[in-house]
Amino acid sequence: MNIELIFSGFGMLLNIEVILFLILGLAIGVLLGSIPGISGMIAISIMLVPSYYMEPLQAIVFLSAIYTGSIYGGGLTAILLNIPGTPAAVPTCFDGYPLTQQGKYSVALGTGIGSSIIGVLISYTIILFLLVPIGSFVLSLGPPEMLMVVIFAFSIIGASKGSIRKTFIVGLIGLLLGTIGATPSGRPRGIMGEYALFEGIDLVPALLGLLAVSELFFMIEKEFIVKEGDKKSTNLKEIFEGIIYVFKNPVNAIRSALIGTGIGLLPAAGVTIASMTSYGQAQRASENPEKFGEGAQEGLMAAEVANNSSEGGSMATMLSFGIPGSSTVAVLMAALMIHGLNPGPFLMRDHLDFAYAIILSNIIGVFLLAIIAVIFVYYFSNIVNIPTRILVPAIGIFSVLGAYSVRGLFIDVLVLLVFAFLGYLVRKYEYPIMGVVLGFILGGMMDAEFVRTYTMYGNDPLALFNRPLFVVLLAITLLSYIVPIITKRIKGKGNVSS
Amino acid sequence: MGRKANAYERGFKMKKIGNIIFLIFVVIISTAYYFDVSGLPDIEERIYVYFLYWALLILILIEIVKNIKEILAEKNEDDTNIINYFKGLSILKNKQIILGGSLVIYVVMTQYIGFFISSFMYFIGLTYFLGTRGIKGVIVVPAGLCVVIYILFVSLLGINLPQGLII
Repeated sequence: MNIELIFSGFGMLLNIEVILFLILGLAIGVLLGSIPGISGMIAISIMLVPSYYMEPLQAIVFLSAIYTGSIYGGGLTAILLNIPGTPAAVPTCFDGYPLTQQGKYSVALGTGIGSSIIGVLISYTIILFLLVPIGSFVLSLGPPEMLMVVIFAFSIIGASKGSIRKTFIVGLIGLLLGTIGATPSGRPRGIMGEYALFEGIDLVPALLGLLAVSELFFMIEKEFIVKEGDKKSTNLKEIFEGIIYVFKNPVNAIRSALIGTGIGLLPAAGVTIASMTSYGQAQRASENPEKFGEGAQEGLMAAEVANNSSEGGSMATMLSFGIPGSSTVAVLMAALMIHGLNPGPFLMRDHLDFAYAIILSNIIGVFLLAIIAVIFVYYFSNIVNIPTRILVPAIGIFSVLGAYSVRGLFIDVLVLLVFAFLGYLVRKYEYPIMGVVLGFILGGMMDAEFVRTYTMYGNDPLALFNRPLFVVLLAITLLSYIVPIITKRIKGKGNVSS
Repeated sequence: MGRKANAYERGFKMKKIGNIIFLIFVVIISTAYYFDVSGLPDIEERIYVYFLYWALLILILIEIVKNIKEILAEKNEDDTNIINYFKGLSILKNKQIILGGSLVIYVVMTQYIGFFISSFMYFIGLTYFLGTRGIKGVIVVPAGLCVVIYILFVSLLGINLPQGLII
């Protein structure tokens, strides 16, 4: 770590134009990220062209701020409408939306703001000081370790409420759906002659269907999202209470930020499983795990802290290796290259102060995000006062629009419909929707890492135990499956005897 | 002789039967996928799906058996009759069925008459069915929504949406 270069990076930010672009980027990111159908990647892609005319630092600070703002914006619709703005915001729906239904959306939104602050602060502070050594750790992870990480992430399924068997049924359904597409050898599998599915079922229409559209079947039975007796107007005091709640729970905050940053570092895993894993760990560590899924503020906090902190991890991998952890970061990387800066070892060697400037801009930016977010949510949250007879068709239209926005293909809209009906049936017959979502997100990753591991060690599986990191991850993963099952059985017997 | 099933028990049984039908459907689809995957040449391409399929099949069979046992345990004189259940179901008044049907029609319509016209018609039809009255709710809101979507997504973002004859 070079303190001089950190100060040099900070000095580069002391420019009114850079600060103004930072504020503008955050505002645009929050606004676009909160619109169903527009992801962070689309938001950055739209603003890529105007950024051509900016200085390199201004452009990267601007686009990076859009990324930060859009992550937060995606969490907004997850909380208010059960529509995740990005796949990483999926666990935000699990407790954020029930809080809205209980009339506590101001508190939920405030918790989201506080979580963004803490998540970004901790993760970017970590990578500010550990940017260089982080690299060697990431390089030491091979396919066997990545396989264990993904299997470990899937284990949070065991923490779901209700029947373990039902949970694993839907989890396996999700995993199977995640295998549709090209095999790791490049052959089509399960695509039914539809070559648009060769790259797999796209995540966005599938998640829109499973979460947003399937919710419409239940929303249509009510007059408002919020129960009549729980309806309130947006309350600034409650928003601030939500923000302060995050700072009053440092253990959850630090744990979730470390999980988010750590998993965000991994290019293959990335942001999609960071929030899921953090949510599951928070449930395991909670004194009231049964409240998760029904409006547990600590669950919402864990998901959002990890979601926001995974950005720092992704940025670290992109800056130090030139490997983007997500499609959004890939667009950011393209922006760097357009301005003549190649992420990776050469950036680290020749322009480390620039890398530090980007990191510091995010740390400074999170405080500005808090101000922008409070103003935005105060007005945006009035959406819950719209009657469902207007909201239901509107959300349906935006969901179809979101599906078309991905690739402009009708097949994605059909995927949306199929997953919507699947999501409805899963919820109607009381299976945990989280199981399908988690299985689907992880299915493809698990398949790819499994095949790589099998190719390397299929002839001599015992050689896997020569990899110390693999052994540690295997032990942790096994415990993460066995402990919840035993705990549930013990609790079940305890309920029977009492 | 058993007593007649009350409304709760009929609902309970129908949910169990519905669950069984859902699980059978999952088995059929996943078995078709299993046979599709069996045609792949490399073992690495098949083994993972095989493992998932067999694990799923075993769990589903256990769940189906459990549901059947629970239904049989509730056996009484007036057993739930699926045909009578559907006879009593008023499809045109069931909001969920209407929503599902309208979504399917809407999605298909986007391909033939374009996204904006079908969205406009879908919004009007569904919101009217759900009880919205008055020009503002039925016409102005969907028209405004379509305009906003056009400006934001088509004009500014350049996203291609299915077009009809007019728009």
